Amino acid sequence: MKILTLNFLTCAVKACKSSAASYPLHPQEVELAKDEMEYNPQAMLNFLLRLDWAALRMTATELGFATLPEEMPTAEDLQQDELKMRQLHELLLETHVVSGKLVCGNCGHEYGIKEGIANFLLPSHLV
Amino acid sequence: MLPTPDTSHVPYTLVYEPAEDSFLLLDTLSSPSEVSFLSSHFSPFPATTTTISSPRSQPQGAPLVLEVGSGSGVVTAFLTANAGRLFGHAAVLTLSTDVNVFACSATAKTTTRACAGEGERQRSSGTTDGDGNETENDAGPGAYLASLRADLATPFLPGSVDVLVFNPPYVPTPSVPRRMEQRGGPPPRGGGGGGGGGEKKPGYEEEIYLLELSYAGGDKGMEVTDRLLDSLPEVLSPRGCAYVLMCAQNKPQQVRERIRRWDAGRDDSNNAGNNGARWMAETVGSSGKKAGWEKLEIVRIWREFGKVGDK
Repeated sequence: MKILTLNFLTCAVKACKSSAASYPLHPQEVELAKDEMEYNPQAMLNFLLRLDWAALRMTATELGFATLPEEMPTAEDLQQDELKMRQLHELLLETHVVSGKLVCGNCGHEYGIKEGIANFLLPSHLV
Repeated sequence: MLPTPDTSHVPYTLVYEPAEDSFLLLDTLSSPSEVSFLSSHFSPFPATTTTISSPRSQPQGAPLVLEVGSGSGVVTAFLTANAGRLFGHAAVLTLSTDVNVFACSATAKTTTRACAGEGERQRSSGTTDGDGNETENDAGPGAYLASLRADLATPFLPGSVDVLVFNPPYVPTPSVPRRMEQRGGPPPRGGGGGGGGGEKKPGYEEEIYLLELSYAGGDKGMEVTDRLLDSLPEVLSPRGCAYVLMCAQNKPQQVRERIRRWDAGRDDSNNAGNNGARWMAETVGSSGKKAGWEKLEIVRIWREFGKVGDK
């Protein structure tokens, strides 16, 4: 599961969707791995435009990566800063969560990750 | 014809084997009309513009593609490996969900392999393909983000999915299978709060259960599809669309009419209603096998903006 995935996920419990605390989920006890992927600057720019910067910033900090700037760099800045783009490419697309858990900040439910696959099936009392 | 991803590694006693329905999805998604829809609807951010609006209220940039119930992964792999050809650019993010953990593993493997093969072809052919009209950046595979074990699209952020593809369990049956742990049997691997991996060899009863999950649609074959349809207004982005496969017994004509009556104004979570939005549902692919018991069709569902009053 690539790190960028966390930008699109929230708690599977219906009642949590309306709570700001349910997004992003908090990674805990994670084991990370790196898998190289070809760098495509034009595609990378489009990936960055698609994501929620504040949530990404929180995820990066919680995973122990270098703190990202508060404001998302503009497309112009990024196009002139290949190093920054490559760092983001490495964090978002080359770094995988192999195992660990994702925790909802609202209800505290823990979603396990094993062999790169996160399990979002809820126990029957939460469905 | 784009190549069909190789699924020869998939254990077909545990995971649905690609069949007529899967191939109809591949043919439909790569048909000229859908390639034209997808590439005009999800055109890339132009390299020269610099205005960035809030991505959550009105997503722009790379489309997020989600296949629900990915099974062997043949569709997810096809969409990811051929992203450049289907969308006109390689800036495409893909994800898949399945309740069957063996399907989750199979999809990840099928997709990784298909993309590696596609990347190889791109590199060996240089900056243009055989027809000499595609640049390397345009034609490459998209980025496959994750294989998730989940019920439908339940873990997705509201308003986040741009293209949702679903080949559901559509066969009418007395009921849909209940989860293993709810009927007194042993819990399935990694059930409850556990992880997704840890594949021990499943027993015969679990094999039957996994097979049932892939086809048993309950009443009119629509119990699972109806739950998915109900979630679309919330999970799709304003520009989002869904491709849902149905068979004749699902009464697709009635389903399309029902969707067109949905009130796009009620989707206040993403402000789609403020623009004169209305829901559309059209058949965009069909297997045309009228004599057989199973005529299949693929319905595209999406919102259209600013055309109130037009017919």
